Amino acid sequence: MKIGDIFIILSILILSGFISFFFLNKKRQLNDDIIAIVEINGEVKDEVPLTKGLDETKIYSSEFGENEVVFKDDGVYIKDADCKDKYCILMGKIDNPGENIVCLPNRLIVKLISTNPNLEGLDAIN
Amino acid sequence: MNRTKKLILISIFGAFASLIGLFENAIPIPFIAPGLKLGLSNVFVLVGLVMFGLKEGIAISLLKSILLMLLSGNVSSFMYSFSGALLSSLAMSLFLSLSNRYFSLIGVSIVGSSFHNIGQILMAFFTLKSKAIFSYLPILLVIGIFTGFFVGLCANFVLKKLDSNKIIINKREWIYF
Repeated sequence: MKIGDIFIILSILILSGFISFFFLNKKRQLNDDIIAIVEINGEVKDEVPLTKGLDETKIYSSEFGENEVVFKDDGVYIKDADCKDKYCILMGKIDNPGENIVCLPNRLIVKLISTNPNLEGLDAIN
Repeated sequence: MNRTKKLILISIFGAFASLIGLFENAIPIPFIAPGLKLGLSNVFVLVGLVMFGLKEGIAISLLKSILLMLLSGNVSSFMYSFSGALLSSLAMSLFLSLSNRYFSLIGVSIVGSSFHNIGQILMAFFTLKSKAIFSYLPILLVIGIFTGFFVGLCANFVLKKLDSNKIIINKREWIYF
């Protein structure tokens, strides 16, 4: 380790701090209304508000592949996918606004946004 | 170093890199971000960059990406693997051209792993067309510091062994312990 290495490590830490500031993960508030947005290949395919008592399974298929997404009132997860790596299933359940699940081979992304006007910073990810 | 020896060394490094990459694929690490890997195959890209130069380093990473695609059968991973490897080779050779008074191989390797992550995220951004993918970049960069540190140590060790066996002829000054 030399002096430049420590400088590199510090600058990477500062840079990642700056980036994560823009994608700040706020904890879910009790009265938050959360919407799950499903995008395939950059186009919004579906918007599901996570209301109380919701328990729904939807299958999204496109030319890239098929994903089975489960929407519940306390979170969203991908139950099944026909892609090769299955990383989207391993990502588990997301429940806070600002989080997302990505399936790269199927070009599918599920993201949660808050409709609470007090959390304006979260609009940066839209 | 004559051309045949150089060609053989590049091929051996490419083969080693893809073999290690294949073993890494078999070890799942479901930790924070799925698909996370140690990136040990970058040891050989870094060794190639130190021993030969930019062109040969990119040749090794291209060899590694193509062989891994053929061996694992995952075609879509080729784009991500090669875009990251290309960007990290460029960044590492830039840092290697600087003085080694201030930077060691560990720092160069940390820069390489960061640019590897940045390249892959940029590639994912161009395919998904969604800015939300950048939210993975901070955690990948922080983990990249640790994996880059380890890769730098390994590359240093490999270079030291190659040097003591009189395989390296030039660029000896980058080996430091």
